[in-house]
Amino acid sequence: MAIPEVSRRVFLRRSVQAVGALSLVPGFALGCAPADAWRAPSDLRVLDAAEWVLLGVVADTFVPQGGAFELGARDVDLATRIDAFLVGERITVLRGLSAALLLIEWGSPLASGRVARFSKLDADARSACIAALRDSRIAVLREVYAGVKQLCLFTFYAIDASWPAVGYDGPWVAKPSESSRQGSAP
Amino acid sequence: MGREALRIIKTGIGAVIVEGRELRTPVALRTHTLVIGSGAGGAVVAHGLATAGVETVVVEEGGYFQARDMTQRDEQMIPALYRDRGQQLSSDGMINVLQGSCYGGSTVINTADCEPTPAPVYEHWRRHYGLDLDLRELADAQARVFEMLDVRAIDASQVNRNNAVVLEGARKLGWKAGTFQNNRSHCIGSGYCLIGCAYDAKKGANLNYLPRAVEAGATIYTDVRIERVVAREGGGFRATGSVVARGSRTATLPFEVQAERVVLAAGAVHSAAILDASGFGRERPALGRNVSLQPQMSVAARMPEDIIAWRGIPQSAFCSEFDDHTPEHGLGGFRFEAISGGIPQIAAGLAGFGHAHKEAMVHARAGALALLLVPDAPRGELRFTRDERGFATRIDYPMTDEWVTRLRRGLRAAAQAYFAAGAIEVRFGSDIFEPLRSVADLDRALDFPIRSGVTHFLSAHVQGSCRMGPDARSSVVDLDHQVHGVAGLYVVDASIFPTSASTHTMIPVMTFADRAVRRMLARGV
Repeated sequence: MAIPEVSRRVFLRRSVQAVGALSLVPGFALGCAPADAWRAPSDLRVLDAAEWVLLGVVADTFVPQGGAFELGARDVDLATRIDAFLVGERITVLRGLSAALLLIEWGSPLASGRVARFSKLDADARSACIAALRDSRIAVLREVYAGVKQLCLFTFYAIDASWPAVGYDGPWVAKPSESSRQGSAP
Repeated sequence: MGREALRIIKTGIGAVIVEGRELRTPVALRTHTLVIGSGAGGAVVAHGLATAGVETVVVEEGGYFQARDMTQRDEQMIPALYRDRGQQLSSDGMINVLQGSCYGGSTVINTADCEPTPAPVYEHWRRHYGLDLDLRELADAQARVFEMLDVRAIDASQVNRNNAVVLEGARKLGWKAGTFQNNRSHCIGSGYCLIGCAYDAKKGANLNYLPRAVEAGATIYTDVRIERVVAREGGGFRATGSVVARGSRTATLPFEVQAERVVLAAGAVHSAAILDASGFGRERPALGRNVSLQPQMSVAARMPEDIIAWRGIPQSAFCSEFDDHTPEHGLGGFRFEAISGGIPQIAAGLAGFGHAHKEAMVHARAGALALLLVPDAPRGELRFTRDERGFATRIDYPMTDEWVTRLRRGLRAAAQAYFAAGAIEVRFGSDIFEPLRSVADLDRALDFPIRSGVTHFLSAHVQGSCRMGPDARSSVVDLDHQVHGVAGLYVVDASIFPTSASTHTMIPVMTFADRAVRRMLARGV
């Protein structure tokens, strides 16, 4: 069962305002964090390495491996695909995503009663953090939940490899070759 | 770049479509009539003027796409064809305001439903907004539009299982229901109407009005954004803007048109933004106000059998039992209409995340989907801001208690219809509302919570912002679509409607556009 709706891949400006103050605290930013940032692709177009690492963890929480079907966000390097998808977005949207990731990393554990960084938690704890955003009484936390969730799910289910599990047989037109396209989007 | 750097590269030429990427130098044109926007309004105006021999230039901010460009992939076509890459939102983040932004505008990405303005709405406008419209004139205009679009009833054989469920549920409850008229022919039922038809089966303005306008001599520029229109000393207008990059919509080259007449047809958000940026709002307090979004909410039922909602015509059936259109309030009540989108859209809209979401997606084949449409009073307001992609208009939209009550009644009714058709459970557009699991559960819909971030609406019929009326203090354009006090400047799109014109707005916009162009020609301007 599903709900038809064009994705709200949006990170509202007020989410930037709400968490922007955090970035003023020395050392309180994604950039100081991930030890595995070295794994980030060198050709990221929108995200920086720290954001890419964290988005990978967030995407893994929204679309984990296993369960109803095996494929998950990590199997398809969803963070890199999202990076490509975001090319051409408004600057405010991209700043909003940065702010939303910052909020998830530092704020969502607090919202679920934990003193830790989101990216250091196990899968169950991370799910609890995301649920806490969804169920929060604070509008901006719910909006961050909605924006990041829809970005991850829209992008994941746009990947051909996800379709067999849901019974979708894909586009009817022949898939155009990359060389025939003018730019990344029509 | 200063104006002196511009040069007139074309004047009086026609019968051509020019894409922005073909332009290498700044552009300055002279023409008689400039039409800004190539959707339902602009296309009809351009066709009408060009076929009457008026030198006409059309500019369209979006790109030029043909059937062969439609890849049937949401992640490519939504950013390419929709305004703001499909993510234009109300300022509270709850309503995804969908508008086409491409050659042909929303007629390329709509559901192809052809629903005229109901008679009580015209009477409502006459009584409350001073629109003493000639209904015979409008009927003639609508007939011409229907002929051009080749409007026809959807055949029963084209009603897919997803739409049939709505009809079955309504029939079992004894409720009024039916199928739409549409502007498709030779449809093969691929199901990708909302991201552009790859088979030219949906007869949008890109396949009739616009090519015929070009045949008659019009010139169409795509990938061009007009941002200001100012009156020139001695008459006429100077419209300025930019050629924009496909995709990012960032400015690449200056673009200027000098015209005797300008027709704004950029849609209910952008026509108002252009007028505001041009300074026409100062003496017209109604500009940007009285916006109707006619929000819709998804209703999704898990059925005991496969539905495969994404194949076939996405929207062919509706339940109109609760339509309540009166001269006193115009459109009213609520209705629900089957719908589907692509798998990525379905996934993004489905409640939950993690393993629970994956489990739900495995059952997507059994999902029956509809939109509950609840007509609204025009209480929205636009606030005009800008960024690197041009206009970044804020859409403020308050929901009234009366509207929310009607919404909840509508959700209950739609769920009732689905249970009558055999649904196992019914969900609404919410991340926090537990699904209804039986008829005994229906009244929970009457407490449906509205919370930003976790309650999701969409709007496909944004209207208002440049309301038509006889008084410049309460409206923006007169009954001939001309901006009050500015001879030669017109608005011809959904922004002129005083209240919601119909449950689907393509036909009302085209009908008024046909009427508008005939009135322009009759004036001899």
